[in-house]
Amino acid sequence: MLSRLWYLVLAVALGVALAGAFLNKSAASREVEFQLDEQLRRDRVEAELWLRLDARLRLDALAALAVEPEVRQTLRNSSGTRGTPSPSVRKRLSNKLNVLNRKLEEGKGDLVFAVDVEGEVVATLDKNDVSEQRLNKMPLVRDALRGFMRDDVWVYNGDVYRMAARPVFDGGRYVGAIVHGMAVGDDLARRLGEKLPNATIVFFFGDDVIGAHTGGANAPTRSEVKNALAGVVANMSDTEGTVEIDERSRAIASPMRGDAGHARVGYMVGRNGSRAGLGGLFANTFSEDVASLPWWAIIGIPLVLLALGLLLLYLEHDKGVRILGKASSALAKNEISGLPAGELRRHYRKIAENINTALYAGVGFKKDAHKRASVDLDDMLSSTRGSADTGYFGFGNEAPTARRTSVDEADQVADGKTVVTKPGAQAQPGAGDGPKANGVPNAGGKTTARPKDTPTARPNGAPTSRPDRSQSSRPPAPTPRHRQAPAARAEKDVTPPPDDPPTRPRAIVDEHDEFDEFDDGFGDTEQSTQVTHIPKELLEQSGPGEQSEEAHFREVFDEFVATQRECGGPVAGLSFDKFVSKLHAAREQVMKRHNAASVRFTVYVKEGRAALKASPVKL
Amino acid sequence: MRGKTTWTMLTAAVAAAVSLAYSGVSAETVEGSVRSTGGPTEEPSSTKDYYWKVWNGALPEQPAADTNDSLLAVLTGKFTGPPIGCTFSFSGGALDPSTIAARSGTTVRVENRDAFTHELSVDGLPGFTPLESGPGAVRAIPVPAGGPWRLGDLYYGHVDGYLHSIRELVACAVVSSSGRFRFDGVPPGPYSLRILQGTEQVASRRVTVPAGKTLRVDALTLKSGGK
Repeated sequence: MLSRLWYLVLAVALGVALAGAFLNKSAASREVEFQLDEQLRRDRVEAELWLRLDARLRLDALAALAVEPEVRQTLRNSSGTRGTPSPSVRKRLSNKLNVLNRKLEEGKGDLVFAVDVEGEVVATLDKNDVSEQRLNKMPLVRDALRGFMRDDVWVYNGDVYRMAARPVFDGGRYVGAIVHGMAVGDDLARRLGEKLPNATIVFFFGDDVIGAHTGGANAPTRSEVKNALAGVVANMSDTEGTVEIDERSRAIASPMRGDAGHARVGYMVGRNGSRAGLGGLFANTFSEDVASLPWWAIIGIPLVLLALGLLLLYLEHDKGVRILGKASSALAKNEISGLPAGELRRHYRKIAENINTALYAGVGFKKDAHKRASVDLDDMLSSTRGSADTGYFGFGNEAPTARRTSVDEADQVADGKTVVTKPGAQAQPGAGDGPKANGVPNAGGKTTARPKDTPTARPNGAPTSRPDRSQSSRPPAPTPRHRQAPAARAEKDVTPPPDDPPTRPRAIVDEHDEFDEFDDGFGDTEQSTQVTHIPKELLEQSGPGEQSEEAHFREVFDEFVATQRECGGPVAGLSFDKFVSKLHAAREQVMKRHNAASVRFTVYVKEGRAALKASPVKL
Repeated sequence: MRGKTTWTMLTAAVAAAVSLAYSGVSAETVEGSVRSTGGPTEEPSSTKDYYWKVWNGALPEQPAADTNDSLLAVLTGKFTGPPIGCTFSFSGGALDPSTIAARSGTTVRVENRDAFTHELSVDGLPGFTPLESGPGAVRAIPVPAGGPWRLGDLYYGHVDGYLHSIRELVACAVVSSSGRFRFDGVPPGPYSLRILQGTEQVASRRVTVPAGKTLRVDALTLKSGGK
């Protein structure tokens, strides 16, 4: 239970940690998004500053054109009532504008106009363009003609230009203006992108991208930014906030400052945010953050919890397993007769109790049923020895040290379950009522008093240490020691039931069970569990048709008494009636347990005393 | 008998009037001027349209000229012929003039005389879709009754004007920067001379164009606040 509590604590701690991690992820995502928004706003401010500086540089560069004497003179001659100059003059001025424009190098204009004070275009870069054209109502030109230096953005025949204009004065009066335009394209985006590392710059005109620059692998691609363009253009009036490009990318947009801003001309700056997945939780962790962690708690608390968990695990599980392991090993070696349930707790105790119950009930694998039959029979018969201290076959008054063979009624037979009481090999007076060794319970709550150092304990299969005195002391009656008799010998006499397992010998006698003397009968597992077969001649003699039950009992009684005498055992209190009543009781139990049609008893010598063996006979 | 005589005289008079109207022989000129009550108005300029607008540091700033670009003089009266002089254009980068008028139920033409593209828009005028108009292209605007409607240019934010729908429109004339206007080819007859600016009529006068000579109209004083 405590270990489960520990697991609960562990699960709760893990859940809290995961919740914290995900909360941290959400907070980190918001923080990343917030930082990205702030970065994009700073980008826009920086872009505006750069465009402002660029406009100023273009205005200053125009001074070289505005102060050119030929420009001033031509415009002066064109202004006022003098009318438009001749085409040759205009062409000459166009050539001059081209020369001056080339000198501007990076600031070289794609559009250059020289306009007179009426706003009429006198010359352009295209020397062949001599058409009449006026720009007097363009705010840029109008302001320049009034004496202002000004910038603007135009959409001129489908292209977007950053415009700049400055007045031209000659002789102390305004004579015109120089208008200069640079196309908005990839070059401008590249120059702006150099000021905004890791950002993607896109200039757009409506839904079209007219210039773009991608700031490396860490920046969103041109197409990614373009995908967000439609949403930006649709909401050009609200350009304060950022727009989402995808899950980790955002962009900020701004209309270009100028007349063309009304034509949905603008630019976007896009950036990728840092990842805020669980894998990137610690992306922004600094070494000082790590240093400030309460390491004593981070390490100590888990260690304490670990130790507590291991302790609880040991107390509740490992300890029980260890006890069960040792006990089972001892049980296998026949050092104990049951599992020590009292030393165990909860489920292990229940398991031990159940196993003990099964051990006493003789439950086991079906393929070993023949062995279990023997055990069952032995237990059943042994249970009749519960009153051994009172004397089997009337030996109750026998001296405590007397070795005797006792067959008694079962102490208790309840619900088909035989409860066994086994006196010690050297039975002491009142031993049956004394404390039971090993704590093995029986159905009546009693335990079997059996010394641990009983000499019957030995490895399975080992030859018995018991002296075989059957040759010298056994009467010539058919010997019961024919456990290794082939099943074929019995096969001739009986027909096996149709439901017999195929692996089972088709013997009339399933097992040859001992009806042993109680002082050591339990301990001798070899004797009590070994499969034996009744010799054919014995079966023939004990057949129902040839020998009555009474005669069989008499024969067994006589043989038992004779054998007992031969062994030097007491026979004074042994009466036939009592002997028969015990045999009846034992026979009933054996027949019931093994569904046998009959039971045959044989006498043999066991450890210097007469003993009985009961063999169920099936039809 | 008397009624028959009256009928005959009336028919002759109408025939004479129609003959006069369409003969082309008597198409007179109307000249006039406007006088503003205030000085030239500085156009509001959005500070968002530029980064720099700085004085050149050499010569003093020239005052803004009163161009009267936003004024339109019209004659209205009983005349069934096509409106006289009511064609408009983009010139110099903007509408010239910015206030235009058309007879209700007819179509007004706006020509692009600039070397670059315009895209005229008319706010709220059903059935009119802004289209790109290159140099030399003409946009025809069908004008129903109602209005006025605001005009603009999707490429140039500074372009701003109004379109008026006038049921008895006879003739249109632009007002020069000096405030003068002139109608040519106007049939003699009684008319109303109106000066439009933006959405308003800022001046008006009833005039009768005489046959065979130019009508000179005294200067009209404009109401302030025309927009």
